[in-house]
Amino acid sequence: MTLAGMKEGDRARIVRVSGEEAVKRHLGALGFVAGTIVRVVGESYGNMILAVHESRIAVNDATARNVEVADV
Amino acid sequence: MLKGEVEMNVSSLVVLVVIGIFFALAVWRVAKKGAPCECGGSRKACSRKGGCSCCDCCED
Amino acid sequence: MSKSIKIALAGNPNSGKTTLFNALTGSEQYVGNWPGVTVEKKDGILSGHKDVVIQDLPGIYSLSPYSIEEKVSRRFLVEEGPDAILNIVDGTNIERNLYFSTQLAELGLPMVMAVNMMDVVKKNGDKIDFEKIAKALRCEVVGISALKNEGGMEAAEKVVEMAKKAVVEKGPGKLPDVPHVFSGSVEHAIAHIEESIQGKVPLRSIRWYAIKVFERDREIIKKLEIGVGEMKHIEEHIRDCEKELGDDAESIITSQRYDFIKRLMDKSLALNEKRKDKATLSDKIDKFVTHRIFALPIFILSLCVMWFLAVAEHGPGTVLTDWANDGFLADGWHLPFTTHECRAEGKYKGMEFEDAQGEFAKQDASKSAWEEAYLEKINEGKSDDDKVEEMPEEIDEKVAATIVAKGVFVEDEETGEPIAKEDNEDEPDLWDVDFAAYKEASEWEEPDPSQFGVWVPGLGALITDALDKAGVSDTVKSLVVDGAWGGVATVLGFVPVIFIVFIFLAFLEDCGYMARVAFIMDRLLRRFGLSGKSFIPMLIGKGCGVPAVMAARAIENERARRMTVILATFVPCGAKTVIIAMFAALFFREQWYVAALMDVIGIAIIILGGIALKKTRFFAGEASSFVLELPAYHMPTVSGVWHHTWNRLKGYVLKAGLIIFPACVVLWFVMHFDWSLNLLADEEIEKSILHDLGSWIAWMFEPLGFGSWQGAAASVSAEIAKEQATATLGLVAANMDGATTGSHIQALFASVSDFPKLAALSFMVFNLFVPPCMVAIAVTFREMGSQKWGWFAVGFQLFVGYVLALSVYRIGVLVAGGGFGIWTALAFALDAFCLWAIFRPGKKVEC
Repeated sequence: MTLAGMKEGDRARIVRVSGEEAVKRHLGALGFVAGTIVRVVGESYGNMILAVHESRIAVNDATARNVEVADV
Repeated sequence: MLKGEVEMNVSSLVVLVVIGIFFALAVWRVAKKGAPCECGGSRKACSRKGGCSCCDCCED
Repeated sequence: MSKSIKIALAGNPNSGKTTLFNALTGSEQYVGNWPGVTVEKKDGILSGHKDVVIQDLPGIYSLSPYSIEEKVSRRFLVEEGPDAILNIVDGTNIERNLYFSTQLAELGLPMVMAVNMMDVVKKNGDKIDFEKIAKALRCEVVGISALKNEGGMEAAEKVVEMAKKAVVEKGPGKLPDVPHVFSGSVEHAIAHIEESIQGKVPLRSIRWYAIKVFERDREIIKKLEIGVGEMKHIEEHIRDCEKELGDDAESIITSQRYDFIKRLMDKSLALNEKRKDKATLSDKIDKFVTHRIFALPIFILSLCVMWFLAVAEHGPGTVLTDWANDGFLADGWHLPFTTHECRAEGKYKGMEFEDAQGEFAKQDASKSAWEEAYLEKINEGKSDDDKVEEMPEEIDEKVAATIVAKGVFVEDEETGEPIAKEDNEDEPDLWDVDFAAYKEASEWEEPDPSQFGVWVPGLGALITDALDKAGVSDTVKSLVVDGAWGGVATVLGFVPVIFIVFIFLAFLEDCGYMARVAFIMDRLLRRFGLSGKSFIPMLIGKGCGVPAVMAARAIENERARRMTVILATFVPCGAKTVIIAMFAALFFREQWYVAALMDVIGIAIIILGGIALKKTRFFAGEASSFVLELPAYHMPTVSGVWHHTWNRLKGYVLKAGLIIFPACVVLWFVMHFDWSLNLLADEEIEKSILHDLGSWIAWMFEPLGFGSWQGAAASVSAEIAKEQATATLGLVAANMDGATTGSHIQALFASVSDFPKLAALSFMVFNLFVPPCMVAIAVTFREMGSQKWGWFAVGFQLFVGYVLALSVYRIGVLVAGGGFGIWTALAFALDAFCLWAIFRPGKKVEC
């Protein structure tokens, strides 16, 4: 399953990030790597605000769909 | 070259010259350093040769 | 040690780097909370250490070679080589920040890590073990709070110490102590690579280079000129790791860095258990601010608050602007709290200044009315040549006794009929003036403001007086007062309005809200197939269009980038705000929301224009990704907001001196001379060069409602600088009726249209939404990279501005009962075209 479809308050563990190289790299630098736990802080129309470590990262639905996650 | 009535006296001439100097200074400065900008960018920091014009700073 | 010490200041965006930089160097820089800002290279001297230069690097998350910011930083750190690094880290977000720190540490330079925001860390109840981190990363670690000015200087001094020691003891040739972050097989591969590249790079950074080669960094591989055979050998090692770990090299490195950091944090970071997974204050605020329904209204509301403060009738902006335009820059003003009733003997004794002015106006009106009636009477029956124009020395008493004139305050410009002074009065104020009243009225002189309080003469009055005293000729006086000073004063008079706008925007940026706006707009734009990444340049555009267009560079997708360049300048910039300010003051005092409407229209054009463009084959394509960090909200510092605002304001004022001033001088000349270079009198302005030039193109503006040479001249002059439109209007309206520049301009619009407010609105809309100033157009061409696209952008903007102004005016006139004409039909036709372009079925967007 991917981040897309997760609801506010859900937590998940990142398994893999796919998609465009540039985006993958950027997400990686921001902490989206295998094993990291993220929490959905807010969600609307598929766009989400995620808590990654102590930061807040906003992503759109297309990006969320590229982040494969597993239950925590 | 100039026709028509223009009252010319010393003070008028002085004022004209002063305006002329400021005009020339402004034109010179814009030609040399580019237009000033409102973006808040610091043109002093630009490392590009010839400086920046209106926030046009520091490209690769 | 004659050479100066160079310290690199590096860290993530939003880590407080700029605040620290300002504190260390005392220089003026500005703090931005969101990416996309044009890259700058900022440096400054460390306070108290004349031989130390602090180089502020852009806030970045990593040293990859992909974004401009990263490239600039890499180049400086790796090639120029500072003597030491001061790495600033956000203590409230330390895990993510350390990702960059590990990379910096691998460069092998002496480094001090300043963990910032320790005040917040303490408040949160978290604990960080600096020693453990220092040991793991082989650098010094200290805690600071840049905001509270604690520890920053000490950290900097420590770095300087280390740098000085390093310069003396070591040098690029000694193998330094760098952290080993990776796992067995990866470390193995890196060791191999280090062997291969030995001698090609400074020894201290060999590890960093090796890791880059492992990641297949093309720039580095090319630079190191690694032989084909070598490279194949290295590739084998890399591929072994990839196979073993089941991922690509770059991802492996990224992952393992975070693994290392996690292990380190387990030992050295103790988060307050009570805070775990709880919503922070920022989260709570974001619930509203990014709410699916309330987000956009909240944003528009904040814009409305801004404009209300800036241009509403009794708001701070208008009060100050009126003071500037009518008082400070013009005739003069009373110091507040010093006004009193007139104490001097004479007609005004006991009156307040305003009443005195009112009384004088009435007496003056009486005098003019009676004189007009008298002249008419004595000119009866005379041929035109014999007619007397001015009041004779001697008044014929017999005739005088028969004259009873009607005193009136205001006359309709065209018919000369008396009209009501205030809009809410039905009947014009009329009274009888007979000879006795006339004699009385003639005795009244203009009230002397200095008798009513402490009077400060305005700059305009001072200049005029000085010129008079010097005996300067009227012509030259006009050049200075009406031309140069008049134009510049017009523009400067609106500083209060743009000051309020700039301060408000700076506040929103510094507190972190603007990042949310970018996110909200992305959500909105996405529903129409556009990307929010395009919106960041538009937020920048609120200050100036030039960096906005340049910020489009950050968008990788070529089509999206082009579209952003075309649309970025539709958000009113600082200069355009001056136009809004002037028209709000002259025509829309009670309708302050017209100003806010201009911002909303700008955003609407961006959205609708984007939709329409996307439907053409040049721009259709998939929507891209959007990733943005939302920094925690924080109260902006006064100095931060001030610096932000001051830089912009300074640019604006400088522009007035360097661009508006020369432009007005030139305009004065072309207004006062005809083609044979004869000097013209004020009334002969219709023979001037400017009049002819304007008239040649005035027909183009006819459909828009301001088809006069003045409107044309003003609009064209706006391409030099948008605010020049206001200055030009001030100059060309000079010989219209009215006491002040403001009323001249009102009279101007009244003379060109039966619906002056609509004409004014149309003029405003036109100048706001056609291509921006020439500098911005030049940048547009440059960023597009091709003439074809440059012209397309300009053409598109011209079309939008023209159609919008046309529609506003012609449909407005229709609604106001002015009738339907050929231009109205044209307006409808073009609007229909636009609606079709927006709503027609487009290509399916692949998700």
